Amino acid sequence: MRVTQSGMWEMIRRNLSQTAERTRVIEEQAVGGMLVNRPSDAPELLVEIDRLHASGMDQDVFTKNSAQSLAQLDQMDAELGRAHDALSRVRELAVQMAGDLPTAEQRGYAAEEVAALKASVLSAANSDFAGRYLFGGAAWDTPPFDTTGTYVGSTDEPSTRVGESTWVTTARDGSQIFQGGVDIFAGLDAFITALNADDSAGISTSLGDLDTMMQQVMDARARVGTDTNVADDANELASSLSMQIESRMGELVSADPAETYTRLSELRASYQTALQVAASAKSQGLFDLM
Amino acid sequence: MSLLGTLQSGQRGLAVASSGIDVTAANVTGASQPGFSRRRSVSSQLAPVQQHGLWLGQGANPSAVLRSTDRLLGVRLIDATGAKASADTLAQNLRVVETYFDATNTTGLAESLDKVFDALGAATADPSDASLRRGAVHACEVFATTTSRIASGLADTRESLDQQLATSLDEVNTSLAEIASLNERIGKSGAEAGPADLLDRRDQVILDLAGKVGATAELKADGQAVVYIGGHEIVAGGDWRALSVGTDAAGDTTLNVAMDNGSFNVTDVAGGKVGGLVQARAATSDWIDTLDQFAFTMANTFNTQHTAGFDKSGNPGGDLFSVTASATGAATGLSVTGAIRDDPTLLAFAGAATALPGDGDNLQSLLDIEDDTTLFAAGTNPRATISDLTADVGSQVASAAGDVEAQTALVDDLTVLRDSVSGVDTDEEATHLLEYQSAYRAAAKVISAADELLRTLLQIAG
Repeated sequence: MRVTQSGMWEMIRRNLSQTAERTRVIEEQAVGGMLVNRPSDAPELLVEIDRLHASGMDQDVFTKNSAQSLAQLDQMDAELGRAHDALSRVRELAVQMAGDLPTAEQRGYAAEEVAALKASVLSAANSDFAGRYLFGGAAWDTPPFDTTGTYVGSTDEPSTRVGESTWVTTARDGSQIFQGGVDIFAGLDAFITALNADDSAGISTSLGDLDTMMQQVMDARARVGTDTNVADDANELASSLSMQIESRMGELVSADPAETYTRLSELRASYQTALQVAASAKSQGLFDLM
Repeated sequence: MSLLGTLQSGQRGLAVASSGIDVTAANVTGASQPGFSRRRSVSSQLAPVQQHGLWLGQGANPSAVLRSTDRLLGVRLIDATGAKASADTLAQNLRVVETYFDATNTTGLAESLDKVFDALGAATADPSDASLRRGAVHACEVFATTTSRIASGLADTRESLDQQLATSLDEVNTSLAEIASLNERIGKSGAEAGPADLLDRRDQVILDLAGKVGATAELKADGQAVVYIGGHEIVAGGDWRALSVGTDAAGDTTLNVAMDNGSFNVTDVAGGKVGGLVQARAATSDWIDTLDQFAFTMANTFNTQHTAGFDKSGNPGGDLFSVTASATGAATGLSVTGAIRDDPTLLAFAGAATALPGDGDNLQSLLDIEDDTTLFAAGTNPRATISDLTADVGSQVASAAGDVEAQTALVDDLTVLRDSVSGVDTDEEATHLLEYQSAYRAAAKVISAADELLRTLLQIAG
């Protein structure tokens, strides 16, 4: 085949252009550290990249929400523990004050302590976390129990999203916990009345109710514990998924620095060679010798 | 042969050599001209004469200057040039469109949609919280702005494509007129052995035209060319038909060829740059429609759910997004309603009119939209719908880029082959020059020798 000068220059020009374009692509990858810089770089991977990215963003929200939920649930557990401790002490007093041995004076002192313990239970029932009342249900902006122990909160229990389809209840219906089976506040009032009245029969009745009261609080703690476990698991899962997603995203879109640098070096060497070929192509022809 | 005959033979030898030098000079000077085909000088032997019983030759006369061309190769190059230009134009314009779809998910539509649902998800922690509500409104604004920005960009691109089409057609019509004019001049000058410069120019204009509109050509034995677009005859002899841009009933751009009694549509068969522009426009229009439908569906779905809830004050929710009455232009015009933008407490997260601070029942329903697979015909959720759109853009750009590589390689190969036939090798021309120089000197010597013999005879006679 005849090879002409213009054909030769055209070939050199084309090779230089192709090498320059390949170098540009690798340089872009080297500078940005990304293999995929635009949809056309890997259209077959886009759906997976998008899904991973969306999931990664979701995990950030889940991590934040679950961490906040855990803090609230921890506080809720602590307050229920406080209420339970107070009721345990009330039960101890009820056992001590039952029967005919305690004097009226002793029962009077016990009544004063029970009143203080009731205040502690009421305080726990009206406790809040960062301004949000924990046992007011959806009405978490106001104390759920008034001074008489009447529930003014909501029976609607709001949930926080901590996973793809995982929600935890972060504000409880206080009426279910403190007034569900036995009205704890009314029961304590009755116990105080019985103590003040030196009423042995009334004290015995209260002793029976106290077991139910403590069980109500324990049941609530158990539910909170379950939610805590769910939130904890969700938090761990979100953290783990975030790392896995980041790793997979890295495999899909991140450029390997060593490989990129090596390819870049090869291309630059190739470009230099092409330039030298171009420079030597202007060697003498027959016209130069005539 | 007489001495005078010898002188005439020498003179013809000079003419043949001189003609060769002229052709060589033309080749050397035309070597770097696009479309130039090397020429060769052709001479023909004169009939011999009988003298003293011997048949003696009378030398040769220059008879023609022929171009070195391969007609089949030329036709294939024209076809390939049209396909390459089409792929080039499509790829270039789709790459512009591609910039609106961010693969790295930092400023793209998918990212903005994620942020809407993430903000709503974050608000489940405290539906009454002012900052979380503000965050949700902001995310909705970013989503609307991003959608609108992309749609506006696509619309601008489509407008630019229309302008390029109009400009390109002007160039196409200019080329068609020039080919017709060249055809006429070539026809008047004779067959293919006619003026090589005109033939070169005609071939080059046809090649350019192939790049502009994907025209093909049939090169006739008389040197004239018949030009076709999609099989429709556009240039024949000195006649040509103008191309123009029109609009069909659906509002899409059409390419039409003028006829005596109307016009016919060549939109689907045009190639070259014009074909690439038409394809890019069609793809862009499809993506605009998809985006409009997406924005329209999302806005109305959000609005329907939002109006089912109650705001922080317990009032029924209003529309969350402002959107056009129909899908057309929905993406460009998408925005968050002014009232909600100014007052995030109007976000209807509550499911009941009591609107307790922890009531996020409607917020949960709004979040459910994220996974709703009944909204779009493809049965995908909103996020996947955007992913599919982006993947479609990426695939089409990658496909166009692949076509460019394939067509470029083909054109390059054909160009090399064409060059091997029609290109000028200056070393070859140098040897021709030496050959013609030598022939010229030899012919001159013949004339000189004959002249000397004649002088000798004249002196004897004198």
